[in-house]
Amino acid sequence: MKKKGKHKKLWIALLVLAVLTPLGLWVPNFFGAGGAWGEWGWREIEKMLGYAPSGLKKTNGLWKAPVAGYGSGYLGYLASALLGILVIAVVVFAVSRIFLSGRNRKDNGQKDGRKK
Amino acid sequence: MHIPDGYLGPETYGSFWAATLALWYLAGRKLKKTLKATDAPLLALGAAASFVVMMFNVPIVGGTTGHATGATLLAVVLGPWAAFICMSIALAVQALLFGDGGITTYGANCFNMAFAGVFAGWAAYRLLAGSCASASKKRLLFAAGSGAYFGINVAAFLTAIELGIQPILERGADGKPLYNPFPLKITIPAIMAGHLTLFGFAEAAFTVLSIAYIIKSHPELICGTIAGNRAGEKQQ
Repeated sequence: MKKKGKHKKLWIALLVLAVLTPLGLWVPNFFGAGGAWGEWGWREIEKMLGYAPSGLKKTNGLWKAPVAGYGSGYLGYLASALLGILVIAVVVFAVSRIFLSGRNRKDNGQKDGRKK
Repeated sequence: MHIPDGYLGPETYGSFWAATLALWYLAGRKLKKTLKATDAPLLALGAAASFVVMMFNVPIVGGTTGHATGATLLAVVLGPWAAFICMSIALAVQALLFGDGGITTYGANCFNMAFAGVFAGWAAYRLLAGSCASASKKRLLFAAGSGAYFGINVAAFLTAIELGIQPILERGADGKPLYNPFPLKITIPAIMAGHLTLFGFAEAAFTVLSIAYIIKSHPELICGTIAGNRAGEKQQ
């Protein structure tokens, strides 16, 4: 059977990374770097080119994300990291529950408890 | 590399949605045979790790930013098909919850980063690592790092191509581009320069450090897929 805390060290490493995520915001700010190339909103494109392509302008704001841009500020960014991990974990567990069988498959030919 | 809504025309994003749906179906068929529900914690870890590492924006001084994706790391630990699904889930949460990457372009983003990035990185890793069981730790790390560098650059290159063909494919009656207005000769250098010189190495470093950590903490997770581990044990 699956042991509880089987991947404890990996979860700890993940949480350490999550706590450090504000660096992912701070470092670019420090070096005066902007966003990713080609991920501008249509207004920025309009500024760059003097016009925004009509299809781009129409589709660009299609979806209003509830936490657009990973929140605001370093704290918002950190909270987004933790929220994202939580939501992803819930989705992965749900998808696994729906699509994967609960028991060890025959083709494994192994008992689960063999591995530490 | 997260293409926002509006940058790809319907022909392009429709094609990539179709391709991604077909690949999910294939992945589902394969994974149903090899994974079980109790693998969920490890899959969740993988998806979450990919999500978190993408939040570490790496700057080009005074220019743009990019980030690692964890594609090859996930492929090495979970196997490429599971990595593809896990990264697709991370990308879905990024798009729906955080507005990072579009909805119409989600299929293309999955194809570029979660499919092509993962499989390219995994293929290079397998090629260089040789037989995982007998390879030295150094060789495994070198293979994973090289795979990571290659994989993220394949994903970046596809992104640049998809964006760059928009002005050719989609023009309005006035001759102006309807979607991404930048041609290939701009998109390819703009995207590849950063990935070849910096973000590719960030991806390699993240992958090598993570795998070195996992070799220490959970050596059983390296050398193939979750299912491959079991199959490998059987052979020994």
